[in-house]
Amino acid sequence: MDAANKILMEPHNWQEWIDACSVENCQPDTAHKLSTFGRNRLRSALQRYDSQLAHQYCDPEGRNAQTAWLKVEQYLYAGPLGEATREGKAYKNRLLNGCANLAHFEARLTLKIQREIARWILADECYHIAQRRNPDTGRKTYIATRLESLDIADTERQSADIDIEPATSEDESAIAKSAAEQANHVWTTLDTQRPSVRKLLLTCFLNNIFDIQLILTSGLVACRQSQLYNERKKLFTLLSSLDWDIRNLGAAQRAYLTRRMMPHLKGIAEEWLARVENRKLRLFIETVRNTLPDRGDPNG
Amino acid sequence: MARRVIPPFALAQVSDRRRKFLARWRIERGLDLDLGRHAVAASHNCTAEQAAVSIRPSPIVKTAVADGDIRLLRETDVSDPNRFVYVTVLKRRDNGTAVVAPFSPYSVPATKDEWLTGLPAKPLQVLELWNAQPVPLFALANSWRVHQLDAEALRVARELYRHSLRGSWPNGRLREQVGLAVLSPGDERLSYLNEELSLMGPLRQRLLAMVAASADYDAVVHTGKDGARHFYFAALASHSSAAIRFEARENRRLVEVDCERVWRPCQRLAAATGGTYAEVLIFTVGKKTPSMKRALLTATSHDASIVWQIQDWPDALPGLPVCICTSSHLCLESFTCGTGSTVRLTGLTKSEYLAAIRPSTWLLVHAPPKCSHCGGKKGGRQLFPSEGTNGSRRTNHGRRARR
Repeated sequence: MDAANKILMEPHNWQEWIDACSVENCQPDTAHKLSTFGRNRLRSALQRYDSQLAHQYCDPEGRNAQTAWLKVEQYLYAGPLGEATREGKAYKNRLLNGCANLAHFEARLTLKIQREIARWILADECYHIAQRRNPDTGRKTYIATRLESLDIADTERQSADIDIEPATSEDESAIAKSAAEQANHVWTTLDTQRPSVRKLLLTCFLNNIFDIQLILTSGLVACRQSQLYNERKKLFTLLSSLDWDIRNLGAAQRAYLTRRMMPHLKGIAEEWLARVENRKLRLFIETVRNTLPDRGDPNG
Repeated sequence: MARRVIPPFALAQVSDRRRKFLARWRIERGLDLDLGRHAVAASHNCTAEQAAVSIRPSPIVKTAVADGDIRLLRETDVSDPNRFVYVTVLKRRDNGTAVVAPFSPYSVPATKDEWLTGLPAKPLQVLELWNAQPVPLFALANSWRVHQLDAEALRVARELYRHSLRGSWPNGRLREQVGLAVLSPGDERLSYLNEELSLMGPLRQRLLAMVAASADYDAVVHTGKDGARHFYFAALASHSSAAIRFEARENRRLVEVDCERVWRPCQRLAAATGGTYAEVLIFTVGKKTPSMKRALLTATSHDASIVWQIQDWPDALPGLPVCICTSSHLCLESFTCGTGSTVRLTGLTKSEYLAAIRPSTWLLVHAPPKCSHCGGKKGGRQLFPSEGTNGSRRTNHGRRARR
């Protein structure tokens, strides 16, 4: 920061801004200090991405020297548009709420400018942060690139698992019924083919226990490791080849339907687990699942 | 084996508009994380004076919490003091709580249960309906009211909230205003959901403390003997493990016996005003001695409803649990309402009504610690009291009294 841009905000400057509606209603000295305060901080955040962009928003010789500070006020305002109500500026009180001293207050405002307001400007200007691996060092780095427009952004990341959903509310309830029906079908199928091992495997998977070695060492299954892997393969084949009665069912659609079926299947497995007389099995699943980290609810 | 019956259904591809929501959200999220790494370090390099100075914020103007209100929560009500959390009130309930949904920090919906509100203000563009939850009214009243959802927006928000609870999808035009569902356990949006959920932790804690305090009343009513009744207030700071003994029929003075405290009606020296008053004891968390007030009674006999107006109580908040007791062993529960100094009882039986309108009625109010913005002094409290002290006070509401 050059000497010309160095400022020291006094408490009365902040008090004036808090009492006034906007920087435009402050005395010239306070307005100048506020503009410089906002400009310095916004520039330092934007400069890391693009010095031209920083100049555009934070040029003291520009058409409006208060641009940066007006962006701050515009971004933080939460009232109705065009009315500039006092209630909508409650952020000023919130900025002060709980601050121990002036440095604390300014730090909080700096964080707002350099994180939220800079993000808003950069996103509007189509800047994009991408993680790249350096081919020479193998280290991950973050690279900022400017896109032509947001319309084409990130298309390669539009993975298949996000673009399927029920067409209408009738379809929604039909899918729920189908999922419940398929879950029953899967469970009854397991009854006929090596029932205990596959049911055990499925119940473990539904409770986030995927470690085959762990299941083997529990002593709950009387088979070799290769047999257990084979059973797991057959189980996954069964789940991935269910007949959903739809022609040309794509991979994304199948994944979506299988995902919808899982909660029903888990419900059936829970019931079975509560009924099963093998106390050791119940204890194993309850103990292991409670020690695993929570993966969150994937249903959004 | 009988043939399985799978009802016919159709799956649809999501629209380009909603794909762009996600693309934009990912850009904003990436920028946010990247900027956050640098900004936190930069914010520590401020050169402002460290000395104690006074800047006066405007005090919170306490207004009754209404459906559709948009409010900015205080620092102590969120887990991240640097995050400004705005919430909208979806539904006020009769039990001293309201269901609120917070607004997202991003400008586009991230998931199926986030709604692009269409409000022009930057902090109010996206509503997180998946994160809607009940919070205590008294905490909500201690926040800044900034805006209001209109009736149509509130209707839509409630409809989307119901979809969120059921796990169903909205249809038609409304579907184009929400994001895409999270279907994969590896989705990066899950970490964002966890962060947002944890923000509301302090309010959830207050709700639990309030529920604990309210639940104690029932157990208490039947423990009285010889006209004395015992009340347990779960979160009453240092002497929380001790019973609070309250006698309504004894001499008019306040005494303290060991860890048990006995309160009796205070001496009223002023001439009677003609109205009927109830005695009010306000138990504030962290204060050993309750403050004593009185409340003017207004009774309507035809619908057996009673309203008390607590007088000279600047720290009044709506949604505080109130225990109403009389010398005839009647004990009822209610909550403060309106701007906080009103207590209302409706639908009483005849005997309850007759007992409650007597002048010997007591209202016991369980209040949270005094808010730094509601000091009651003209022009607001000094914000920075002294060097090195943090003006905010975090309360330990989670502790529950042992009996």
